[in-house]
Amino acid sequence: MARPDLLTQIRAVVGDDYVIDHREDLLVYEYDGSVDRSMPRAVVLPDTTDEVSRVMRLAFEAGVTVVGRGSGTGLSGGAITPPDGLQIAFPRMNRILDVDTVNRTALVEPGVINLDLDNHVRQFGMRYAPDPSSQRACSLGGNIAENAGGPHCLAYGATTNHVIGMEVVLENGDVVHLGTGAREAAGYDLRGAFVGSEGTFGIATKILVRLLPMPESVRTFLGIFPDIDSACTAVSAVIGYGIVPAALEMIDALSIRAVQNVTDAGYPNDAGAVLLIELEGLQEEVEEVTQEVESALWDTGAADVRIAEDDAERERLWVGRKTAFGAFGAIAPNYYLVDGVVPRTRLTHMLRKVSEVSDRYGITIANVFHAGDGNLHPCMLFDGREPGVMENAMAAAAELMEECAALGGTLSGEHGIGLEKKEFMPLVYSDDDMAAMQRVREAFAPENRLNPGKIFPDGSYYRPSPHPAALTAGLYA
Amino acid sequence: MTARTEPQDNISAQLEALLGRNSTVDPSQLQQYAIGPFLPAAAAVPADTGQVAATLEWAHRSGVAVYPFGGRTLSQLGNIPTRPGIALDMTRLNRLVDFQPADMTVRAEAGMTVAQLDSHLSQDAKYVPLAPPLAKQATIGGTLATGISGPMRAAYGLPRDWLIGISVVGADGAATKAGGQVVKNVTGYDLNRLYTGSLGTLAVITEATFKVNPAPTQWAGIAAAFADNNTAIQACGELQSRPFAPQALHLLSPTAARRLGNSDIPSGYGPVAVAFMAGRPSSVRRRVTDTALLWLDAASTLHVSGDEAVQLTESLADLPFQQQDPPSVCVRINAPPQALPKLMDMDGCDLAGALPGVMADVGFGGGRLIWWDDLSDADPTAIAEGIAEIQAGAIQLGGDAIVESCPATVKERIDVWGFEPSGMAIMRRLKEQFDPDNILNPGRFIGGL
Repeated sequence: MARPDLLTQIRAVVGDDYVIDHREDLLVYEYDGSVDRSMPRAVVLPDTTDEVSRVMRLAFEAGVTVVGRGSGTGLSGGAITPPDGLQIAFPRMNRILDVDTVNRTALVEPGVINLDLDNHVRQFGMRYAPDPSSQRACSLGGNIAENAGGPHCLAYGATTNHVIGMEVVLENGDVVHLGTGAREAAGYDLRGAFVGSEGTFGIATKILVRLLPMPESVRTFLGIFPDIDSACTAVSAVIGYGIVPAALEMIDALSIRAVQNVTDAGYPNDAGAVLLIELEGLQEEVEEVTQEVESALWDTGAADVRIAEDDAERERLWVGRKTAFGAFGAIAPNYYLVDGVVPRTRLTHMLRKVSEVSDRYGITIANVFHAGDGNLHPCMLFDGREPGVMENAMAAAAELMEECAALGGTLSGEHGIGLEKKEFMPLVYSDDDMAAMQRVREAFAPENRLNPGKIFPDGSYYRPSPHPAALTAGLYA
Repeated sequence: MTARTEPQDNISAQLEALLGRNSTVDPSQLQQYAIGPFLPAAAAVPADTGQVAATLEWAHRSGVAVYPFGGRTLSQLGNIPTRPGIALDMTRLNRLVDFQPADMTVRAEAGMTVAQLDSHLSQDAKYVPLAPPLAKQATIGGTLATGISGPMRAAYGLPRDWLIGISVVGADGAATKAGGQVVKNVTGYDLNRLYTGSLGTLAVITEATFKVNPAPTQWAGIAAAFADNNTAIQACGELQSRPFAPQALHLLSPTAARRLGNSDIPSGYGPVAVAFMAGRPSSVRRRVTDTALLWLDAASTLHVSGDEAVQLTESLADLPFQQQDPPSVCVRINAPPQALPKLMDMDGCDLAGALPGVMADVGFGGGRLIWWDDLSDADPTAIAEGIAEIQAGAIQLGGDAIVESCPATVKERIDVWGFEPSGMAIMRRLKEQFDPDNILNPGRFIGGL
């Protein structure tokens, strides 16, 4: 980039303080939650849609690639920016602009943190349902880009089910509204196509989301099992009863110990696996289903079934689940998380495969995942400083993705394809299938200036480099 | 866009040579595929995806437009075709491909009727809440292509929310798929949602995979008549704010309520609210009891349960699309829930002296205005002007208005879709990308796509 020029122009739009281009300041923007790393040329922190639009127009005219960044919690390298590219981040655009109790909607800016929105709307007796594990940190803009999920997706659907409309800025700076104020709108469902497009179609600057009323009754269970197999059988049994719980999560032995090591979530240290199950609805309905879930758990070999007595205990069970990935830090400095999905009846088979791959590659793998939707999260734990270990983990991950595809499943349930899974796309899609997808990108971003090089295979050798933050901080010396 | 015009006989003969006599329609039977004043030159009735692909590949090569048909319940939706072409009748692709009750997924060909799909699913107490109008005739493909939804959509969502995988044949004859067989999937772009509601203008749907839910074991409905719109709207708002709110809540103007044709529905008084409850017996019982208590002051109420309640949901879905004594004009209003009072007031919208019935979907937002008076002799220009006013009004309400049916003389004078949205330029580029020669349902969709 002969780009002092471009950055000078951008500074004139957003102000000197909101363009970051010193190497030491850029360090935190060179990685996200994945194992990838690349330092952008500069990071811009706009405050308004108009600023986003003007910055993007300038970048477009200068032929510079733009990558949007939410909170950097993404797990597929979606926010990784090429060395000559510009990153736009949204910590300043974090306003909840409106909460409408009649329409049950909220209008938010992309930098609003998922949990902040949920907490804010609770005072009106409502909630925002999608709850990724990173919800304390991740932003709505990032959730849109990845079509983020979370435990409660099982009953309420992923982000796309909760977005009514968006204001987005296209690669050339044009501002476009997708959808209207109604849940259905005439024309192609551009809103539906945009959610989950991993930042390649545009950057959302305002988001109208749907809120749900709080349920009358909530019950949270812990089903404690001697091993993974019996826990998998229990998952099938619960579903077989005709029950779709609000959430149905599995946590394996290694993860239980990791979690209990950092916080007492109430998971028994000697369990082979636990199921965290949540039911919601009318009081009498929850009472009735509780009995059915209990019998399904006992029938399939549960060692114990515990029901959270109060909100505090319920919260504790969930904190364990949602801090698991952080807790892995005590086991190894790096992790690499696979996000494959299989048909629910193939869970047992797939987890045996994970265990077999773990043994064969000599990699520790922990499993904390959305069992109810068949969305696995085998988490490989390793020390990236050991030579060859990263390549080994990638090879193990490849085997797991191949197995998911062979079982009729897919590569990613909620984290996105990004950089790290793009070469695996041919496992599930033909060239023609991907050509059809590329046509949609051509319609939104004909010049392919937004987050290029993601999602689709291009034969470029992918060489992940685990970010060194933990290493340089001396945590694992 | 190079449309070669072929003599009709030639097209018919070419199609027969391509597919064989069994997969084409006798020219004397083409009237069933009329779209308003438009009649296709021939009709293909492919037996499988291979024949769909062969037809499209041939059409692409010959520059012949293709008008896909499902169960012909909503085949009139959209603007009048702009190019000569053939009908593509998908109803022979009606096989169940794969039903995995334990995985909670089902895959079927696009020409299967929704009622057939329901019947397969019900054998294992499963359910996909598509519930389109005229479900015995409506196909899966047609339901997805039109994006049409049923009366339970407030709680159960739209067809696009249940679709997890799709197979299509593109304008060039290439068969592709998107999504998959699992309930959660962000692998690649979400073409499921893009194809849903695209009115067959991007590709022809050949197969669909849905996630399924356990079927509700109990159904109930309560209809209650209120003195006037204000009282009814207040009662509906009150019910919606309660934890025992029903899965669906509709408000019908007296005219619309009468048209439901259920003599037990309290009519001839004021607007009628209809609430539906579905699920486990315990929850349905609670919702019914508490709703009845809340609506004690209503002028009169009707309680139905079980099959009768399901039939009432079907009557509500079918009413705007009845093929016996059909409405002369039907306009769907997409609007947020807060537009309810203004929507109910639209029963004063005069089209050449005729007034509509109003059906509002309270929980979801929006609804329909339906004129049953015979308007065939009325001035089409006046009707077109009235419709344009309604469409402008809907935009003011934060949504839009789609004309689902009207006389052909009126259709020539209006834009069925009402407006060109902010994303129109993207929509045009999508059409150019997917169908560069403009052979799929040309001219019928938004902005003349």
